[in-house]
Amino acid sequence: MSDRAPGRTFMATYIVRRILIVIPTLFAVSILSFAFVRLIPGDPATVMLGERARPADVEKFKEQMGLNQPLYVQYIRYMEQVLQGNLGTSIVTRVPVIDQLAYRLPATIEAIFFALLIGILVGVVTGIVAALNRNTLIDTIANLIALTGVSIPIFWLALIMIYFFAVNLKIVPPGGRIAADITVDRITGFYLIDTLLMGRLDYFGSAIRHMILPAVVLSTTVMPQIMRLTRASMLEVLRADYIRTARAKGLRQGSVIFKHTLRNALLPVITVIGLQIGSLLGGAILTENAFSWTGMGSWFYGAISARDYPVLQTAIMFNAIIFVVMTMLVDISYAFIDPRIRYK
Amino acid sequence: MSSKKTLVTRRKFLTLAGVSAAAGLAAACAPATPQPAAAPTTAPEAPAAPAVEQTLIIGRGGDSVALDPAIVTDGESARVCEAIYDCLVKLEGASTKPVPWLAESWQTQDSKVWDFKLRAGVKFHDGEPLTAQAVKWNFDRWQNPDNPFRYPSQKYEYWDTEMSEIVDSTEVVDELTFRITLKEPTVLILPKLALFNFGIASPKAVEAQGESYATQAGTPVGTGRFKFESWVPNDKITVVRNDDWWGSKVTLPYTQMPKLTKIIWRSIPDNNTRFAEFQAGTLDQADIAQTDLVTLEGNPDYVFTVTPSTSVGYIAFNHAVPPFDKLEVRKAWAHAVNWDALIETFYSKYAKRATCFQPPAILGHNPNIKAYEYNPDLAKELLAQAGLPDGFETDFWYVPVIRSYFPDSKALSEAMAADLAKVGIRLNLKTEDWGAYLSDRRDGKFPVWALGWGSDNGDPDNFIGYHFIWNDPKKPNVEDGYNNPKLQELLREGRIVSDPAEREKIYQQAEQIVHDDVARIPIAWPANVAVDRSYVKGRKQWVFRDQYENFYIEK
Repeated sequence: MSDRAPGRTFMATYIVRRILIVIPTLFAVSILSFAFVRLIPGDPATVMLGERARPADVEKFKEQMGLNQPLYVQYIRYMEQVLQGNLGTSIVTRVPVIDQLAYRLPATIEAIFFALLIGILVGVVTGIVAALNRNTLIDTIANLIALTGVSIPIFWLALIMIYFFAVNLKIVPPGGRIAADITVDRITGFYLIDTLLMGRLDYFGSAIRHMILPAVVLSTTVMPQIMRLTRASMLEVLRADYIRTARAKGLRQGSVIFKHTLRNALLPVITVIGLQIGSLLGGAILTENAFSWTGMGSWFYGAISARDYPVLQTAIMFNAIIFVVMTMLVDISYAFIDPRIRYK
Repeated sequence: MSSKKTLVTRRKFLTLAGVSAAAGLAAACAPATPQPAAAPTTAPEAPAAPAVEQTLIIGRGGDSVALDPAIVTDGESARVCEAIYDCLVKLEGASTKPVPWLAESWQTQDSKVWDFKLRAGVKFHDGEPLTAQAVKWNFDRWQNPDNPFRYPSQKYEYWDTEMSEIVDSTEVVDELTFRITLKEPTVLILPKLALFNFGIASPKAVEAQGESYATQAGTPVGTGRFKFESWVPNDKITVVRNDDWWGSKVTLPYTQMPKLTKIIWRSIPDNNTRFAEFQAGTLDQADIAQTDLVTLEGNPDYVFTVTPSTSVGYIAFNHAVPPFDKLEVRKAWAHAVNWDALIETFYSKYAKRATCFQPPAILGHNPNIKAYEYNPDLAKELLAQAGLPDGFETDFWYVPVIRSYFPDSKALSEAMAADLAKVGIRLNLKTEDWGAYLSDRRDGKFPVWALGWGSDNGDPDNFIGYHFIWNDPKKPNVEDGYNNPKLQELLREGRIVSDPAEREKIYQQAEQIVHDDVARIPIAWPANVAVDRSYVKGRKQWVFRDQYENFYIEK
């Protein structure tokens, strides 16, 4: 296997093949999401018109929205639009879905970015500490925290945090992306960037303060996994021969841990972080709702209760695309990290 | 929008007064002679233009759909539209009496041809003048399906249901005189004109913005107290005071300049989060679940304002499904349950036991009807008379969401089931997703179920009429299979008669029939409870009208 040329060819074939698989996957996802959305009992007409809906109104509404067409016609029409870059118009607000997406995506990316940052920092550090203090009280506590993190329902945690830090201690705001009386210019959609572009440090401060609770709560969806994986991976590497060699060479503890152990131990952690983006998106649904954070999650949540088909569809498709793409990237990165995969 | 968890039921904030309600109408319209505008009854208030900024932040359960009043029907849109637009006519404060607004006076010889004299010098927020042409432009858009400024995505539901049957044509008499000709003489046109849906928009703005007018992507332009500033979708809508508002230049009641300089409506769909924000002090007013209100009672940081109930929670039967086709069975159900105990346990203290279908605030409420008494023995007897001495088993559907008329439908249903079991009626409690619930109920799939209603405007046609009039009077309704011809006749008559006293009698008779037939069992009338942070002053006991001009902040 020392010949590099075949390896590179295999690698290229592997990547191309891996990317091509994405196409039918997404196609299947589009059909499934279309079907699932319409399988939810209750149609948007009834939900929108509520208690006052009379049959004639409902029929009229369905006709206007094209909901009385056979499903396959609706699907074909939908896909035609999507392939032309038109994601439809929200049934509830009559605003193009693409406009809403452009507005909500940055909010979620901001939240996920900070949640991931906190999750990685805290998860990796506690993982290392736990591994180094294996089977001590510290290890037990770290494990306990991780377990609790996995088990606590996120909306409950959010509410407790709101009451403790925002209602009682009043050290952070309870919800929203920025103070209500601030209107941020729409430049990039990222409040943390736009407030700086506006040259308003006070606005930026408000945005940061509003970010704290949601990011911390959302980070609990990934932190435990990162912590446990770091710990396990550290322990495995610490047992490796080359670590013993390093120690035998008389290297200092710090050097052994950070240079030799951590670098190797983090490889699997990094790939797992990629997959965690998916659970962050899932966690964002409840977190955003709890903090009235106007991102993808609360958009999705609202669309479910309103049966806003075009929005729901886009949200599902979008999450699926992120999942599929992340999985693909992880698979490909495995191929780089683990040469055995390329040759299968 | 009733699917949302917002606790402002659809249109608690809507203006329309009863399409008849009460003496006000008679007073406003009785003389068939030219009628002057209401004379100033209060001393002109110095235009309140405090230098200080006064911002009111309101927390609510959902975002507005659009801010074009002609095409929306939901309460969250209505609340904002009322600040931005003015109608020709407005309802007086706490009552449902129409008073001059954009029209400074009106006259009619025969109640068929109405001339509205517009106020001079009124300007839209975009600087355009309010003229009879501008008003007609609005009416044309509402009335004519082929109007170029209507779009397929828009529904003019309120024009279609409230106005299309009574308005024949409109015309411009002169620069400031606008004429409405009705198909039949009626005085009901006045309170209808006060519906927020008939707020006058700037023709220039609608023409320029096209289909996106007053959507999240557009800008609403009216003549109202507040000007639109910004809309961050699903987050907040901001309006600022219109310092050129016409009302500050005339001396009429209700035309004082608001003290608030800015209003922000924040959408916070989650009830718990909204409540937490209210407690954290980031909201000055909030729509709070009645069950959560208890937590704040007695706390000096909050002020409660209770206004009379305008809604009812009820149990409905499908009369086409045995055994509910038998009066005795429905009656047995009504007598078998200790409703008073249920209401005490499962409603806030602001709710009252319903004695008849409509609460006392609604015209036609019948005070002579006594609530069904708790009498299990009588219930058993009635079941025996119906040929069911051992009782029966049925599915019962309870409301899956929190409504003020059913704060905890599941728990209440369980308690009710326990009472019913004692007389032999065995319930299988069921529910499903709210959207499915509403449509299955409408399609007649439920034998017996729980639901409720909140008045849009205080009128009985919108209350008892809404529930028991069917478009084909000869056929029973699919939803509940109930059809009492006498009731149909009365309720249809109620739509035509304009004398409030006579109308009240008609609806009281209708109430009696609903009670005697046990058509549905009204359970509770929840009160409207508003809660403000105590530094928000000025709230009055108005039910069917906005009151942004009343509020001010005093910290």
